[in-house]
Amino acid sequence: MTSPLLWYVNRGSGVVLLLVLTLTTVLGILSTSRRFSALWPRFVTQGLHRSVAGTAAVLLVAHATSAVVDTYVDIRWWQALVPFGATYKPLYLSLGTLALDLIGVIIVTSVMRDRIPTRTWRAVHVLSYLTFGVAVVHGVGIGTDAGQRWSVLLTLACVGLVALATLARLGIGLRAAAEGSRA
Amino acid sequence: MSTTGHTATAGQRATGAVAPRTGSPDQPVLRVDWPDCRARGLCAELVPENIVLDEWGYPLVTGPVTRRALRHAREAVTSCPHQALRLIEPVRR
Amino acid sequence: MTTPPGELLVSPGPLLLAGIGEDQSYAAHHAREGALPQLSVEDLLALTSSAAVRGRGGAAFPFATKLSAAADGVRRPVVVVNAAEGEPASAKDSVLLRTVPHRVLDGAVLAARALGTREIHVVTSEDRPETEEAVTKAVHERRGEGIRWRHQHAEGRFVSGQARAVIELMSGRVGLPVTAWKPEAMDGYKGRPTLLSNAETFAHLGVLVRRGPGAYAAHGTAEEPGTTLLTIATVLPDGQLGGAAPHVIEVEHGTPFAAVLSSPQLDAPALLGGYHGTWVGPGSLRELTVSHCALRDRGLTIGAGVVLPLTDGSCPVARTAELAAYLADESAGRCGPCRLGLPTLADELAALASGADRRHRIAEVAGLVERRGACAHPDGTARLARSLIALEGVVEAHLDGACRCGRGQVRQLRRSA
Repeated sequence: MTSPLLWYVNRGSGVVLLLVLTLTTVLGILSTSRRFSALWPRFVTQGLHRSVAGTAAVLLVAHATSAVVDTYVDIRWWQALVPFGATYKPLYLSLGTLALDLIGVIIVTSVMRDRIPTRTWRAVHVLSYLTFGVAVVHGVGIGTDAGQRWSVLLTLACVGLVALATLARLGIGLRAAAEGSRA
Repeated sequence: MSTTGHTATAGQRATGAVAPRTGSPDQPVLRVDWPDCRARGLCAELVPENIVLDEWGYPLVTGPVTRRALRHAREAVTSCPHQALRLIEPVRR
Repeated sequence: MTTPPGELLVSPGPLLLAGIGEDQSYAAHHAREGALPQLSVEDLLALTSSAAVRGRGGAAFPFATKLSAAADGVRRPVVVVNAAEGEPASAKDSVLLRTVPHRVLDGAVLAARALGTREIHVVTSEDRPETEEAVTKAVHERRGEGIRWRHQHAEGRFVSGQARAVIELMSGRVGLPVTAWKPEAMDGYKGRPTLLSNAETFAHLGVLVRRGPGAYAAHGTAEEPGTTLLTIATVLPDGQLGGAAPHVIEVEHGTPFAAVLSSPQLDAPALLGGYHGTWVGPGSLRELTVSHCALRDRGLTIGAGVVLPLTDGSCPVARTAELAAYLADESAGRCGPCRLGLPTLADELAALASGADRRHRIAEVAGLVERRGACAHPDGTARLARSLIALEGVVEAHLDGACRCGRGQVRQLRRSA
């Protein structure tokens, strides 16, 4: 079946996912900070990170489902779960599938966090950086609006935000390491 | 209720029940895994009924968890960035 | 002038230290005592509970309770003889392993066989090389016994002898304490029931079985049968007191300290139990007996059996400041309240020694470190500090300048800045 609605849902959810994943990643990175105030207590950043990640998961399901259900473009259900064997734009679709798989593992390990070793959880969670990059490339490669000026600006802004947050995190990490060695 | 967590004195601590290290308690009790704790302070914000911060920013558990605070205690356990907080529940025999 | 390290004095005793002058090699021991009896767990539990055997590592935990927990497990247990003796002032475990090692190992083998395991680990410390050699030799002598002996070498740190630190060492990790959610007798080494006890405890088990409960209980009191080892200690963080060697003696429970110490020792303020122990004031030892229960009732502890009288006339206030600085240095540094609280406590005690009345703050910090760590290191240090404050008149005298030590002369504290 096909309809313009499915098409708009798929494209729309894709664009919003870029924003939501950017927000999730930035919030996750900022959760490592020790800064807090009366207006922004310590638990807020982490709490938002989890809620926004949940929103991303829902959007992701809508995005993948609409892509599979819409017969206008030939995307079979297994191609949404396994990153090879695709026929429509195989490289960029596979990257999307890869991002979906990674997000799935990241979320599952986080839900089970108290039952798995901390180093396992951390190793998987660090894949978020890779996941974000993969998702962005997927969008740039397969997105039908990718050439549009607004889309390019939006993508650059999102990547920029994540890059900025990552640099800030490195700063925190280096500072902590220096303090640790000074003690 | 201060959402930033407030520091405690030893007097505050003395009035709260201090749970033993191991074994099954009568009421649910929060226990800190001290080598893992990094004094992030989220627990004191989320369950101030049972946790206040000492002068170094580390959690002081001030008593067993009442039924009303149980939900907050569980949230504090899942929110600890270093998984350093545990809720030990009584074993029903 | 200090005694060469490793030199110890030991006197013969009625049970554990009987016949120390004789040949104590395994061959001679075996020839004298015969084959080790094979006892069931029930037999050992009955013997150790009626003889009220308590652990000699400092916590005085009832041995029968520990043995029972280890026996109740599903998985194959493991026995660990803890001779790490992290307490620098104590020498009793070293003395046992250097003079009568097979009494200790007999106890371990009895426990292992009753628990149905062949695996016994013996832990010694790198800073007591004579003890390490003695264990290597003794274990080698027993190689035909069907036991899988494992000799573990702990670092010479104060906390290296802590139970979980030992289990970490055995597991191939750094030998420092970790959080225990269950007692190690239930869930210890590799999740197995782990009977980890002090070397002297196993010696008591060995002697109790070999000599029989009647002969064992002929010493001591009805409430506390048998004997215990004491170290009349001389070791402090800045060196030895007056250059004397520590002296290990075996004493029946209930013996007055007046019967085992000299007059100058009884008249001096003394630290009882070890660096995690409790202070007693000048002359107090004259009224006290060697009894875990009697001392506990007075808020004191027999601890690791250390008796450290300040016969050089030094002041408990200054000594406590030094000890606290040492103990702060010896923190594993893994737990925030210990890593941060112990140096704070040491600083406050140093201020007290310099003449500032910091007692309220010392009590506050002691309260903030107790039970907030993976092990009892902060608790023991807090206990030391609190016992100083509780010493009637001593702190006041020091603050008034009336004590003999002279306030300005606090010794160089061994703190890495």
